[in-house]
Amino acid sequence: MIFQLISRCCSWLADTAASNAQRLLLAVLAAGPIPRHVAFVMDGNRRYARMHQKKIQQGHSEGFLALRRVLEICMRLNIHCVSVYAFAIENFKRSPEEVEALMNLAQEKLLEICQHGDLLDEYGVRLNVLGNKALLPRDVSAAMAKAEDMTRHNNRAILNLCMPYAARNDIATAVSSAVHNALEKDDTTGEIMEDDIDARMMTSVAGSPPLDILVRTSGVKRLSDYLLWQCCEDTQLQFSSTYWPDFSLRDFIPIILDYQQKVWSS
Amino acid sequence: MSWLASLTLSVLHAVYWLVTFVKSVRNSFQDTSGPLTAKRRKLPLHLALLLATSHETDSNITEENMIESVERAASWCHAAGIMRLTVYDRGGILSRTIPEIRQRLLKHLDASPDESTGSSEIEFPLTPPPSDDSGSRPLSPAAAHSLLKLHVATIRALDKPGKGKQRPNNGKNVVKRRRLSRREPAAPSLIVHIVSRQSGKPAIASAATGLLRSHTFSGAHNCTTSIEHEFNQTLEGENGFPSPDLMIVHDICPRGSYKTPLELHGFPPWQIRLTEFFYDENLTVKKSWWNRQTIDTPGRPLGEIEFRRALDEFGAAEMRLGK
Repeated sequence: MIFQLISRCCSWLADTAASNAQRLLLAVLAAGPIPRHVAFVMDGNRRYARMHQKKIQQGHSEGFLALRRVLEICMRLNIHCVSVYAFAIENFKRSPEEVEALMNLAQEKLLEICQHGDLLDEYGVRLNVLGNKALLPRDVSAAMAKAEDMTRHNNRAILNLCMPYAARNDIATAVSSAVHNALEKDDTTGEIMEDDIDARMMTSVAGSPPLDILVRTSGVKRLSDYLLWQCCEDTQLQFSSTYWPDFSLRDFIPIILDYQQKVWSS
Repeated sequence: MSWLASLTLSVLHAVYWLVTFVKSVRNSFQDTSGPLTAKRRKLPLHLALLLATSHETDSNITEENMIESVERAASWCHAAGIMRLTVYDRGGILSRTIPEIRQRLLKHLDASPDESTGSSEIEFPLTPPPSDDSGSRPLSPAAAHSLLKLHVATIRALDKPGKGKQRPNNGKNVVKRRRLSRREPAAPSLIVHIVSRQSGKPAIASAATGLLRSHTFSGAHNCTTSIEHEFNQTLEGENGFPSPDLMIVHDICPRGSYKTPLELHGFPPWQIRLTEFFYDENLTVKKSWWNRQTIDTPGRPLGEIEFRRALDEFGAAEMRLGK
């Protein structure tokens, strides 16, 4: 029993030391330039699960834990806006069981992190759900609307949950909006400019600043129809070989250092 | 205490630079890329080359490095069996040097008449300049508007059919106008698209204006799916360029001695939905140290090792398409 007590004490000390070291490191990083908007493609949950002989759903659950962890890091660094690719429109092609499990996970966890005292409330984060929400099951859509309502008053930071999202759909939606706006003004001979479309992209409508960094995990070096319009200019694209459930501050540090170097050298 | 945090951050950056430098030096001694014509699990049908530049370097030298890169890439694509090449530079430098590019491609791809195989010289049909597509007849005012502002120039390298149907080559000007009524249709051996930032977001805006002016824009166009479909046909159609399978991002003028993460410099966003990227971010560290480069030094065209490594990586990549 004494050994158990000692073991628990040592674990607690180690966890506390690790937590304090992380806070210190974050304070050091925050002494330099910090990106205003970072996007994540949370890739690798299923490969992570297979690698650890776990069920796919377990991989997604651990992916959610990684999301919480990374969100907290971003909030401590005062990153104003975080966008995450939670579900692609193409992902509806997956098995019905997996799609249903993902929808249930989203529904359950969204409400959880929006609760009073939880992560989004603690850091004053406003949640926006971006995507073709008409494709979502009604109960998931209702849960998302509720989560958005719960955080609408928050104004310190923004979390864009892209679900279900596709960049070409985003561009087409913006174009449709721009065209309809011109038609309403009875201006069929004018021109639609690049800025007209830019102002109607889902991230712009949600009040997000320009995208500074896009991170994709699991080693894949593609954008897979994510934020194409937003990241094709001077956004730094970072491809990490780590699977999303394993992504941590250790993987994020070089990304922040690269960004700082860019700002200092410009 | 903020000075202490800043000092610690500087130390962290110094350590990071050292680690990055050691990695890049180690990698520079390892060339594990396969030969150009090696059998790979898969090959891109369409390769894009993004040539990144900086404003500080001499424009004549940059232009020469760019044209050299196009020439090399076209030659390697042809050797590797890649049918389509898109070359991008943000400022449109290449778009203004199409005649020279044609001449350089001809020099590289030109084959001497071969009696035994019947292969012969390559011809390049004249293509419309980027801002004028007078050779085509638009179907509608909207389509005409879109055609005029896609800013894509296309060069098709064709193999002439059979030696009996060869046209005599007087050796002076091998850029010929193709006359469809007198010959069999010829399959291009390589198609090269030259694009710039104007081919991207401005082209999408132009296509959107086309929709606005189209008399058929109505309830049907409320559906974003139909807009996507229409844009696929316009932006990736005959007067645009299709989505590349693989993109090599190459810094013509690497800056400083710090690694530079990948950026897309305004590449057309519509076409990069599923494009695989290849970029050696450590090249800048390597080159600037060994060559002691400053921002005034000439820069560098695309290298063959870089090209081969890109093909190797692409061959090993897995596509799940959402599943």
